[in-house]
Amino acid sequence: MNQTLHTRRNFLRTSFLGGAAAWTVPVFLERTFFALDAVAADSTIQTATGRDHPILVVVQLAGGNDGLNTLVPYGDDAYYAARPALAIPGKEVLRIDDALGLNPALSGLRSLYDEGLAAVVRGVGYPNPNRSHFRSTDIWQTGSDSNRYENHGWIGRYFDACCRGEDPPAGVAVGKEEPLAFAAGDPNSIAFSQPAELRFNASKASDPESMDESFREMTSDTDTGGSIGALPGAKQEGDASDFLRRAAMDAQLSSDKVRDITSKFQTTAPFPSNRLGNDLALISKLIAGGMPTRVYYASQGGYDTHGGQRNTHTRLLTELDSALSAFLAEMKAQKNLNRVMVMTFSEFGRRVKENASGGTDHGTAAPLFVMGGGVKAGFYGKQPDLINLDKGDLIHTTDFRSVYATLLEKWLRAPSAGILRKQFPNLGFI
Amino acid sequence: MARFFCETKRLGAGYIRMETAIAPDRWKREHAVHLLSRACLGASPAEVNSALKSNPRQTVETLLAGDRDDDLFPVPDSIANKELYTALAERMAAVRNDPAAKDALMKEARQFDIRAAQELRGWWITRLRHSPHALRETMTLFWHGHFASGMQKVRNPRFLWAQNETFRAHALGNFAELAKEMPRDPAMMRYLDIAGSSAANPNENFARELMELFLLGEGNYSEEDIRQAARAFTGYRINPLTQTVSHIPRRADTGEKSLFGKTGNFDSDAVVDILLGRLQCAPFIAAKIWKFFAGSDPSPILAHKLGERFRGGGYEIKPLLREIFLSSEFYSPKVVGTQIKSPVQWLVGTSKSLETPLTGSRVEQDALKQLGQMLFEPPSVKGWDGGRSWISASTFINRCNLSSTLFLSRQSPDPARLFPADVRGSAESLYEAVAARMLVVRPTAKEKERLISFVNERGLPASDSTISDLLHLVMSLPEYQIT
Repeated sequence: MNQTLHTRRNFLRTSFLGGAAAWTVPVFLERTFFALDAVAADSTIQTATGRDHPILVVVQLAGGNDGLNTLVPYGDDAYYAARPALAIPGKEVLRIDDALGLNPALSGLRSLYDEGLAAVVRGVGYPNPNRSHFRSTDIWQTGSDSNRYENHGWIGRYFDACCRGEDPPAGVAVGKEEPLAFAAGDPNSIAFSQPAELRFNASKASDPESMDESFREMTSDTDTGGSIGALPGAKQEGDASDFLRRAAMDAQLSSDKVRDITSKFQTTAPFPSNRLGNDLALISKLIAGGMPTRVYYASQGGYDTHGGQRNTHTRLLTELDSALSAFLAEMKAQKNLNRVMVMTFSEFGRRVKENASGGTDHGTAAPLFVMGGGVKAGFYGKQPDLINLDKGDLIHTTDFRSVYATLLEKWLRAPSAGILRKQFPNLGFI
Repeated sequence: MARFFCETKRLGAGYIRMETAIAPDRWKREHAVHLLSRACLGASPAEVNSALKSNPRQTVETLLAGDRDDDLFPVPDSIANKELYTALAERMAAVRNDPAAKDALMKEARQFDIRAAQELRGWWITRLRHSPHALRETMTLFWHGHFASGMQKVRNPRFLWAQNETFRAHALGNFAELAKEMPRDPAMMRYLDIAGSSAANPNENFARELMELFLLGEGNYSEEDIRQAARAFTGYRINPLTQTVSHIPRRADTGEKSLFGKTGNFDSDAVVDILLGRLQCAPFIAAKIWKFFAGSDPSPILAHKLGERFRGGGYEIKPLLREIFLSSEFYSPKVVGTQIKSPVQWLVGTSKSLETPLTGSRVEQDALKQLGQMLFEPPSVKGWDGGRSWISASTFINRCNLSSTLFLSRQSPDPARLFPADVRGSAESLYEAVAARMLVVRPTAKEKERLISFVNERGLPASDSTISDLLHLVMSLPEYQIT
């Protein structure tokens, strides 16, 4: 625990107020440390120092990515029968074995696979699949059964279980709003498209600097008298002022840290100039700068290819491939490849049979990718059957929560049964 | 702190029953501010003064009675003008066999609905802010979070408007009647999949949430109760052209059902009545209403007491609210100044404190979305969690920044009227005036010192821009997020 104490104090001292002199740790934080010490024995609280903890990067492919044209079953006649217009000819497929290969737009991923840095989990879905974008996205983000509702995300529950009272922010989402996956009882995450959005903005005032200074002083006020509510095992109804004060300070700390790091650190890998590329470049800088963040979240939209799929899907996969390749190259250059794991997901795959508009409709199971230095490359989960379908859709072979359980237990080293409400089998890709 | 009289006595062998009320002779400004901030989402100083001049009982009666407001908030045409969408539906039917024309029309209909949804949100924001029957709007918001339905799944802003009006009509009425409306409410029917549920294939989604979330609470029913109840919610469908609910007897399960030890040919009303008769129902709802207004769970004794009254009063809502707003517990230090403002409370309350209107603009709607409380789009059927889940580092910073963009630039308040010359001469008096108007929880000594020196550094008498910046700083205090 001394390590944590030291780290958090250093973090506060060096990053807050730009290392200004007469700075003491706020009283309630001081108490947090001691209390943390006391409860550490029987809690699952994880401490992160910004340099050694494992990092998970979640990349959402929003809209429902066509799994069959991503990991192509080129060895299966049923695939060509179902998709006379959209099927990818066997000679174009980037073959992995004699049955499956990658979409030709995924050449970077193919190289990663060959280098032993990428795993493909096949047939990922859940029982009683829901074909509504928003509902299925909620199911993936909360990790719930398809007939159950959760207000907290699977990552948020990990934060609640393992990152309470830890250096903020445990989660960083690049985007306007936080994903449901981060929603937690005690939120410990931030979302922004541009680091400037995190700044207290008094630009309209006649002297923004003195406004900023006043704001800083007030949000770092140590004069509190209440209890500490956010501690594990402590009462939830802690003093609301203390809670807000901590949130305000966390906001200030996160904001300073993010803006400081993004202005200092540069990436060396050639990130493509699309949105996902920019977002992953931003995440790379934050990782290089030693943010204490455990989970990053980025997304790419547009996968809802009901019509004219061929060109759109090729463009999307090309963007994805170039962004992910650059990200992993950057991690390698930073020597962070072994502490970063990337997982892609989409709310569902698409119907096996193509439709009359040169597209595909909402489907069910699909493959997803897991990438990073710690991954055991290969295929996991069974390839779904193209003949035996459920209402024209693939029957999933791997529960998505098995992917989560594997990442939680083997990567984030968190007990998954409590977070996912039951024990899901480990898939072995880590 | 105020003195309350509190008398406890033992009743029978069971529980302790408390007879408490806030004493009229101890009705102070802080209590009036507290009541109005919770029941009306905020108040101007004039409204606080008028409550203060009255007594607690009279103030609560005034809140419960409210004033007529229907004609003040004309419903947007895109929502209320039935002809607009029946015309669209008829055109749609006419091009059924022409895919290209149908696609174009679908696009047009989607655009129409997107605009209607925006106008609906704007309409409700305006009403929440400006209704002379503020408590009814606050309770309408409560019911929206309780019987939650969302636009993305319902895909029809008119249904959500109709549901909103149902909540409003029963907001302070009878809970049993409101609950019975839900299985026939088009938005709810779509949201929880009972539109089209049939005897052959009853959908259990609504029946499950009716027990788990709407009436009884988790653990107070069996899976078999759900299956049996689901059979009673069959045979209803929504007519796409008229957008009304009709009952199709041949699709309804009229057979015998057994749940909670009762057997009969129960229909939807009968099932709801059986659930309302369960002992867990009244304390479950009463405790949730208490928490909504008080900010934390009631003690078991209080939950029991409120539940008894609620049930004893035949699920009438007004007596329950009267009980809550007059109880000494509601004015205790555990409740006053301990609630984290919801984004709606923050938006409406700020506007009331600054005596500046809300217009329901896109900016206001986007602010609520960014802060995590998009109206007509709760995160799930569980509604909004509230409390700490409102605040993350991002939403805190967003609140600070939005307080300025929403209230201090475009629709700036009138500083000359809010803060006249006599409070501008000294930093202390200006600080006091701003704090009294804006804050329920007072800042710490250090914050106060900082704010006062900020004013002094800017120079006296304080200019309008100093006041605007001071307001921005005050609205960026951790304390400002609490009421």
